[in-house]
Amino acid sequence: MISTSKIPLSLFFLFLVCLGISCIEEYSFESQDPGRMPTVEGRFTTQLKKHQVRLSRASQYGPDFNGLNRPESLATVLIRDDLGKTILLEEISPGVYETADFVSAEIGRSYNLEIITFTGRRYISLPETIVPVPKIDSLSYRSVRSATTNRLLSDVGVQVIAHFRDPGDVKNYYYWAGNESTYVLVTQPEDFTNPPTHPTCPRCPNPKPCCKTCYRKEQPVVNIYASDDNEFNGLAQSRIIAYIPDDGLRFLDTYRYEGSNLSINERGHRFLKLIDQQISLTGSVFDPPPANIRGNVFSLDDANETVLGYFFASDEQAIQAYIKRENLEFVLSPSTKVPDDCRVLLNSSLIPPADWNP
Amino acid sequence: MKHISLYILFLCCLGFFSCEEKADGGFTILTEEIVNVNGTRAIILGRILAFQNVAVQEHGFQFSLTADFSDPIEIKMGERSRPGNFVGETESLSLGKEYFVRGFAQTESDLVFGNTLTFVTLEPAVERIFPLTQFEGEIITVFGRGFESSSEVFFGETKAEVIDVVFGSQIRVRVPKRQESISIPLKVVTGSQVAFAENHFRYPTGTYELLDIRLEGIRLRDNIYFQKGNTFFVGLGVDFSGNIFSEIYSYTQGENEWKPTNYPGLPKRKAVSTRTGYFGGGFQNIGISATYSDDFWKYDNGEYRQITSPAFRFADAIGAEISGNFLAIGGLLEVGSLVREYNPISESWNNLPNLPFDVTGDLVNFIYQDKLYIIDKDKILWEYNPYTASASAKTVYPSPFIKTVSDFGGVAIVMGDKAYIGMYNSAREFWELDLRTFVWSAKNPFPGEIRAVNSGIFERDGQLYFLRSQQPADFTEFWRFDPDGF
Repeated sequence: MISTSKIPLSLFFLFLVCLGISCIEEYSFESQDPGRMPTVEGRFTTQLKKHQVRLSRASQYGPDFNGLNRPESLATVLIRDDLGKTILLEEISPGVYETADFVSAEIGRSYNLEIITFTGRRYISLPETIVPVPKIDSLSYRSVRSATTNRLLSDVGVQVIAHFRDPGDVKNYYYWAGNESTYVLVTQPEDFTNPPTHPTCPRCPNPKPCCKTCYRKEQPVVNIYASDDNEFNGLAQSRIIAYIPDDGLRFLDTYRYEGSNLSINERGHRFLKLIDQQISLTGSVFDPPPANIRGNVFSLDDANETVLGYFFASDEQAIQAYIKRENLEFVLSPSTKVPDDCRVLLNSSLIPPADWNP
Repeated sequence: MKHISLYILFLCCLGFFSCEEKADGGFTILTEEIVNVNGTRAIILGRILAFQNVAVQEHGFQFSLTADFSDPIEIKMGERSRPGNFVGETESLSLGKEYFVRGFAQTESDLVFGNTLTFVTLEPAVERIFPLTQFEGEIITVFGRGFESSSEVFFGETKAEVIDVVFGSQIRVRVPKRQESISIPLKVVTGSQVAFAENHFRYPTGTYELLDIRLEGIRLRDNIYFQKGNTFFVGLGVDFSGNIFSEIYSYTQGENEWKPTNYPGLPKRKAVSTRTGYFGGGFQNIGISATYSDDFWKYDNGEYRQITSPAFRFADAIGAEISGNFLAIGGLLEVGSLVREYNPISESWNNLPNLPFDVTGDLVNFIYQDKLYIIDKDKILWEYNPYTASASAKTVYPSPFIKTVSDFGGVAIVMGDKAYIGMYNSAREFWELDLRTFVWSAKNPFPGEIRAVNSGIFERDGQLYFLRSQQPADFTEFWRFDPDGF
């Protein structure tokens, strides 16, 4: 039997319990949506060519699919130098703008990128002044093998090494970018077999007479190689400027690496370093924290609007190296077999590039 | 005394809370960077540096012609509370002046200024006119800098209609009625300043004359032509009845008729030929399974001399004589980028590096300073060195192409440092290209019948001569063109 003196105390605790439960309500969390942020990727260099600028709207990254990055079409895009000279870019495909003529930047000049979107919003880059890039004297390469998490599988690839002397009297910042490269693709058309849907003889051997060797173009592997001269000011240097992983096809014969040796400024170097840091995150507790990476483009209508990307204006030295299989210590083994005509692979052709000279 | 600890606690609380006050906080204004300066426009980047929110009632930039900022131009950007960047833009500056600029922020009690930067606005200047040659009533663009929106353009003393001023650096203007001179100085008046174009604007020139020496009863296509001094040659190919034409005719200046030359070789259509007398290959007859015509010839010193045939077959290919050697390039029968070279001294054929793209004989081409120039179907003019296999794009043919309608059948010829290019199929446009600067100048359009095929083009004494085989008739017209006539 419950004592009557304890009843108020029980009621008090019951009241507290009810009060506690009544406070619980569902809290729906929604991350802050920054909206689709304008993204600019562009490079204007001293090489005489058609220069491109890409404009898009970045979508939010998260567990929910928010759509793909959308190209920013119908914008007015122009590059203006510090003398007032203007170069208008034309849209050649959605979001891709290209100079109408073959043009080149000049060393010593400053360049702004100006953008007026279809909706009238205006963006401009900070002025980028072009300083001469110390020229690369020669290129060499070496194959490297590195361990992976799979004990049975090593990562094999080729490092391209640039040899140059850094001028001691000025502060230099370097950016080595890969360009579209070409390699000799070797396939096995003699091992071709019919497809499983063949009406009379599925999977039967059906050797093709052609073609075993093609020239295949590919976009560069995304890696950021940038440096300042803090550690080697005024000294002769040999630095790794590219790494090309061996996928079993690239180094069956000859691979022609093509890249650019670019001068950048301190701001551009900081941007690239931060990007490199962020894309190298592995999820480890030792990773650097996520960073808000500011580029050099901002809105003229709202200076606080986040604009992603960077407009580089650089002195450019085109670089090229023929990587021959016989000079590589390591290659991926076994190599990849393609039992078909080499021409069926994307971007492959029987005709070598005009200046192919291994 | 017994409550002294409570009093102490109370005083501590008061002391603690008394430090909390809503303060404006200190901040610094930084005039950070001059983003862009044009004629009358400047864009400046500023920054408010603070560790907390700030209570700024007004902020912006001041521009002045003097360092003490007397009578400044102010850009006011309103109140703000957060530190960070701000951008100021003005378009009310004067041309060619040195300005001082600084950021400012007005709080309730203070007016804070940032550091001072200086810049010089650009003087107006005309860099180039495009196109340099244009017909009256058409539009040209004046490229330069420092153009105000109220800029005016004068052709000589005649004020022209300005269509628009874009980005302060481009003025689109309509060409006024032609004046007495064909070469007119052009100037831009913007604000109180005047900028002159370095090169004069030019009205198009060129006069055409139909000569009374036509090829009667002969209408050719897929033929060859070449020139030896003041004698022009045309022949082979297919005649107006669709039959193979197996003769070559010649015309010497001063005479009044075209004469047969008794060509001794196999008949040919789509033969590979140079403008200098080398030719060969092609087909002997009509049809899909036509027979290859495998003899090669050189016309020299008034006679046809057979030369060694190459091991490869050439038809509808490009022929060129470079450094005294005969080059056969591309075509339909072998790989379209193949290049073979005939050396007349060793009388042998050599391999040269392939072209970077396939070519056929219908691509307009010419030779200048031992380099081959080809205009492709995308209108790009490529300069090609066959010995180093290096190709570079030089310029773009200015007239539009209509695919399979007006992207073939054109002619090109070099006279001095200028190439004359145009008269594509169903088109009248004819252009002069300065091969030193790669600047195009329009010539007066061809006035004759455009339903015709170009059968040959020649040059002599500063004049061009060309043959036009009429499609509805059975003769070939002979025209003379004076590039500088008007």
